[in-house]
Amino acid sequence: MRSLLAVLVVITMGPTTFAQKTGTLRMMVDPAAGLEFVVDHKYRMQQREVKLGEGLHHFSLWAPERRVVDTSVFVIADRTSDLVMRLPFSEEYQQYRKDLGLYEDGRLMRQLSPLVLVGGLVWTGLSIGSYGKAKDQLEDDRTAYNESVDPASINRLKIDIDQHNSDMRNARNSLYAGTALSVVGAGVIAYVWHKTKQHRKPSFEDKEKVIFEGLTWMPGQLGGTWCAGVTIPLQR
Amino acid sequence: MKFTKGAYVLFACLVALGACKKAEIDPEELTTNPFDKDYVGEAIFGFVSERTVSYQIDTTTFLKLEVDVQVNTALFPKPTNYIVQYELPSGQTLDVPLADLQDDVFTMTVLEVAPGIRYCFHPRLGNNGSYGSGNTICGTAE
Repeated sequence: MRSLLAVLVVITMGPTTFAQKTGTLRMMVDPAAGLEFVVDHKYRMQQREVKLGEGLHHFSLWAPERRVVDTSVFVIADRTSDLVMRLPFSEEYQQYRKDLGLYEDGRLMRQLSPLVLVGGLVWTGLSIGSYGKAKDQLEDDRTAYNESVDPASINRLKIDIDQHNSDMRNARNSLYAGTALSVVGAGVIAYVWHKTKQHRKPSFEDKEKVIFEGLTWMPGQLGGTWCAGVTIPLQR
Repeated sequence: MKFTKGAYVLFACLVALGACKKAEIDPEELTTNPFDKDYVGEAIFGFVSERTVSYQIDTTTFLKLEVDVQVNTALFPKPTNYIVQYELPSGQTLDVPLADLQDDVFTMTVLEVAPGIRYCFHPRLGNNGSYGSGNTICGTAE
């Protein structure tokens, strides 16, 4: 008798009692750009807010370069809740960034290493110029000494020669330093090019995207379709 | 093979750099110019002759020694005018008049000499008001 009464109550109350109540869920997920998620293993969405029936819902969230994160959220009827989450970078992306960093470092070294040699050669060139001038000056001094008929000039000349010898020593030391820098620069180039000749620009394959784009339900105006995603790396 | 070539190039560079030091001048080695006070070499002034001459002051007679000296102008770097100053045995210095240097021979005189005594002079070569090297010339009074 009680069961019959319950059935009658349900029938008379009708849809007003059993119409599913909904709640709103705002996706406060980092990153916001490119965020996609699949609700309850079926509905693939991209919007910032979703209205869902009250109850526990499963979410698979993904964004480019990020890992797919599965979580469950209890949606409360007639309330707006926030799903706050930060998607971690995928391991592939972290490895890609690491490889890319190494590649960029290597490329930077390949670009910068000639600067050491160029700097050394410029330094050497300038030093050769200075050395040549100092040498010419001393040659002039020697000629002036041999041709001078003025004792006072000869005395001054000998004092000047001391200074010109000092200039010559400085120019020679500078030439040594420039040459050493050039040799070091050449060595650096050889080393860097040898170490980086095998380096190829790494490419990022977002395996998490492949996982995420697995068979999902896409809601549409006609009810929706089942779809499967395939990623083809065209840059190769 | 590349390493060997590189070693040769490096060695050649080091040899070339090592040769750079030869370009310097040691001022102490500059001693070939007779106008240089540090001149070392053939004598600039050469002894030509000497004579002892008597002279009188008031009623007293004295002797003076005159020594003729030749300037070795062949040592000059180039033909030029010059001046000469000489130091007497007493330490006093005298300038030789330019007129006396026309034939590159001049006379040095020391007064009040005693016979048999050797007197030495030190003429020095100069130009433009400054003096360089010289050498010692001696004569004996008779």
